[in-house]
Amino acid sequence: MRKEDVFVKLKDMLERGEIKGVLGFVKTNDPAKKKIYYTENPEEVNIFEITPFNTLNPVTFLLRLKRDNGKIACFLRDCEERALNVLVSEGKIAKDSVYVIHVPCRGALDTLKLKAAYGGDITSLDVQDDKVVVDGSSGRREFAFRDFLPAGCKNCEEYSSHADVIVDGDNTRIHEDYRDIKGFDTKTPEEKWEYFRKEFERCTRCYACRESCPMCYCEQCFVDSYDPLWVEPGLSISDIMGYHLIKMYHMAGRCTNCGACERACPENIPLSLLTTMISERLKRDFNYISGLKSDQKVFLGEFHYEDREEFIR
Amino acid sequence: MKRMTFTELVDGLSSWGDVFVRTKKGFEKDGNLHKAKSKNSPKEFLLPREEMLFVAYGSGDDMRVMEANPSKKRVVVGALPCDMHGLNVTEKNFLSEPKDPYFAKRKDNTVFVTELCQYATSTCFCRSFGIGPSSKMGDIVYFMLDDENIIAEPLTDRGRELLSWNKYEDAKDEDIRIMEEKLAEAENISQDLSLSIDHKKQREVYGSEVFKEAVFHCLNCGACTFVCPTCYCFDIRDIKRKDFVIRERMWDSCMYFIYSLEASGHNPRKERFKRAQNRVMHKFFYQPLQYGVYGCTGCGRCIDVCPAGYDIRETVLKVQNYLEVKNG
Amino acid sequence: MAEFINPYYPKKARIERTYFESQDRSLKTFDIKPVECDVPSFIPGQFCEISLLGYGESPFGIATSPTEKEFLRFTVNKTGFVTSKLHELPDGSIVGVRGPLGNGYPVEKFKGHNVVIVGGGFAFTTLRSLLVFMLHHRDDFKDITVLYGARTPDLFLYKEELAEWEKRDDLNLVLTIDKPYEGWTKKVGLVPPVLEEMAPSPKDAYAVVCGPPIMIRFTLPVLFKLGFSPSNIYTSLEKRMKCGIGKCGRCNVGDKYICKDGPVFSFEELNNLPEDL
Repeated sequence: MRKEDVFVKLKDMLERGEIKGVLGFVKTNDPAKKKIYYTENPEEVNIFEITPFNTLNPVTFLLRLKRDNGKIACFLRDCEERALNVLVSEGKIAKDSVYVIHVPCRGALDTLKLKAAYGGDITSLDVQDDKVVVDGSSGRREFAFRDFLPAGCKNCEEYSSHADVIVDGDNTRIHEDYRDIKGFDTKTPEEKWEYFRKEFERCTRCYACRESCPMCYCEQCFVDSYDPLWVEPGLSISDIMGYHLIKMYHMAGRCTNCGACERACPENIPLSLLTTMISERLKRDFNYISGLKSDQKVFLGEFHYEDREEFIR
Repeated sequence: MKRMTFTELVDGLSSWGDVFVRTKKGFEKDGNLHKAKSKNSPKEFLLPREEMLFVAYGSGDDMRVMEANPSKKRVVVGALPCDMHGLNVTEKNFLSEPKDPYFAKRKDNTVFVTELCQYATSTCFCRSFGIGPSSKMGDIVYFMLDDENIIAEPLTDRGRELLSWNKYEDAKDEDIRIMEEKLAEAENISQDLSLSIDHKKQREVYGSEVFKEAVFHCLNCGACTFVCPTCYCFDIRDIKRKDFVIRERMWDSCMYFIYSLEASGHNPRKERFKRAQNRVMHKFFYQPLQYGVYGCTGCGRCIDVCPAGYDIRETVLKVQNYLEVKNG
Repeated sequence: MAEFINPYYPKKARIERTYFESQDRSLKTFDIKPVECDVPSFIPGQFCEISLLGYGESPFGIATSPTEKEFLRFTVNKTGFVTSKLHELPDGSIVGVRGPLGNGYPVEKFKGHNVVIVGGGFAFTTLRSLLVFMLHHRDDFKDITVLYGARTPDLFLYKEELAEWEKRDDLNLVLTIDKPYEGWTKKVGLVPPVLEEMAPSPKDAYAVVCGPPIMIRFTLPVLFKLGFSPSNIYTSLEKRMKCGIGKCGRCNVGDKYICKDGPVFSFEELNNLPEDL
């Protein structure tokens, strides 16, 4: 369905009370930044934007909304819809509480990284095929689209949407068959450690990665616990790594590689490389892809009597 | 004002202590000057990310405690007026009674050399707070004429003593004209929000719908609080090692759930919007009531760093408008 | 050593005695004496930060009166990390103490007036301080009325002293428990209705209310009904604290820091602040 028609449909549904509200992205003063917005006003539905600059995962904010009386319509990409599926299978969101509007996506750009690369006020930006054209106080500059994609967006898994309505558009997924990961695997453990040490050194523990992640819905995070103290506070590399690696364990089989954590990171740490690595292993060793269906078994949440490993029984 | 090169200035100051220069990231030792706002503010020179308060050895009656004594002499070059104003605001908290000895000591041991600002961007709104790109603050103030030549003048006795000012020739009329032109340009870009908030109405806006809506898209990460020149909240924790215990303080953020979580399990700011609200209210209501000055300097760093597209200006104007409409 | 007085630096103190206040062992009282100096002077209602190096610091209201110069008393409810570790300490252990901190009750203002104290549960600590102080300077105050409620008879603090005070004729002390309990012959009922029944006069009187938030919420209307004005009712607030000197930011209610501007506030003051509790 055309975008304009979807807006008409949503307006109609809001007026009839078939949905309670709409959640999506709208523009801000900065063309490179979109913000999440929730409205229950039928007159406002046409302000929602569908762009590669929608950096966060709307499902994260869906969790923050009251979802008891009435459906909420939500603009979701493939990976975001998969994240919703995971949360449904975990019993966190009721399946029929969300009206899914599928939006086309070729990859979501890391706009903070793009802004840092451009280095000035951005007045306009546009995606043309494999280029991002940026205009602003530092003049007109072109960047390669691929260079500003998190690893997850470069390894987007095949998914057939179960959305209630689908917005027309280019949904050509980039799937490089985990080229980056396989390349990374050839490094020695020392090289890998050195690479991540260098990247994670920049971490300020602002927890934007945690807060932007739809899977991080714990009321109290393990890093916020004094007793037991899993990870010490502070910025030594072992504490930073402690936080990120334990977080990654919690992602296994749940993360759908939407890349929101990496795009949210103010220090441009390649977190998506780690989540993509997990996805690659899961697919390679267990033929498991997370969030394909909302009734899919949770990867680490089931066992079979015929399981070979003793400990599981 | 006197004319000299940037190198001469830095070299002259290096006799006092380590020189930290504004870079893209923050203020780095012997860094190359970045001709724009830095990502981090210079607050860490007075309130480091992690700071030891004291270290205790032994136990029981034999316990010995050694206080930290931050005595390193440092020079911070290139703090912009918004940065300096930020430190002046923060100072009101730390130097009010009882004085914070660590902050006071660091302040005594740090020379601030500020740069008049020609780098205003669309996120700058310093003019809302009684300062602007041409506000002279710190021990020494300078202006970049080009990539190397500067005009500078001392503002304090310490600034006067640090360099042999007589050695340098006076700034030419042309230099002053260039400076005034550039600063006027920056003044034009920096926004003045024309704030007229009635701070005493804090109870009226607290928890109001206007706040709930304005901060909905805030992630509640702490990125803005870390880059903010006036966010000073800290946590105190003990680091236990085999033979000693370090009590240290580290930056904290009111955005975090655990920040206000009480031992009983009760949390007055359990809801996310209340945490985002607290940051805005602290800067635009509480600090004006406490110290008669806004807790924001309009540097715009929080807007630049935000991954969620949050703009504090919008919230403040919405709240101001809400109060105006409500009270006629 | 630095030449300034460091407000973050805890003074060494020895735990002289400890004893459990309740049979469930959740409430333990510590009598603490500074090692290197005298017991500092303070005002009832002030608190101290007690630190256990390696584990952290927690704020506790001072339960002794400034007139009892031998030691500082704190009653600790075992709820969190630091309090659990404190409970494990044997007598004679060394802890760190910072304080006195905060403002305390306006005792000078109370002088020459009737004072009504309403307390609930283990919040009676600083109320004990206030009461002992007033009894010591008994002639400075007019009628003193105390209503103290607890869930069960076991959960009253300072039971022996309560028994002593009940015998005094210059003090009207009423103890009440929430529900009937075997062997309890005194008052039964929640604090608000019992207070309404006692109906202390608001004339020339100040009221001090300390206890669980729910008790305060229902006691206030009763006081207002009796004729007390918000400016004559005081309470002591609690919130997560770290520095205790108004620097670290977390214990604010509006523009006031509980640790520095409080913990004692009148309800007139609180009415102007956001409900951030």
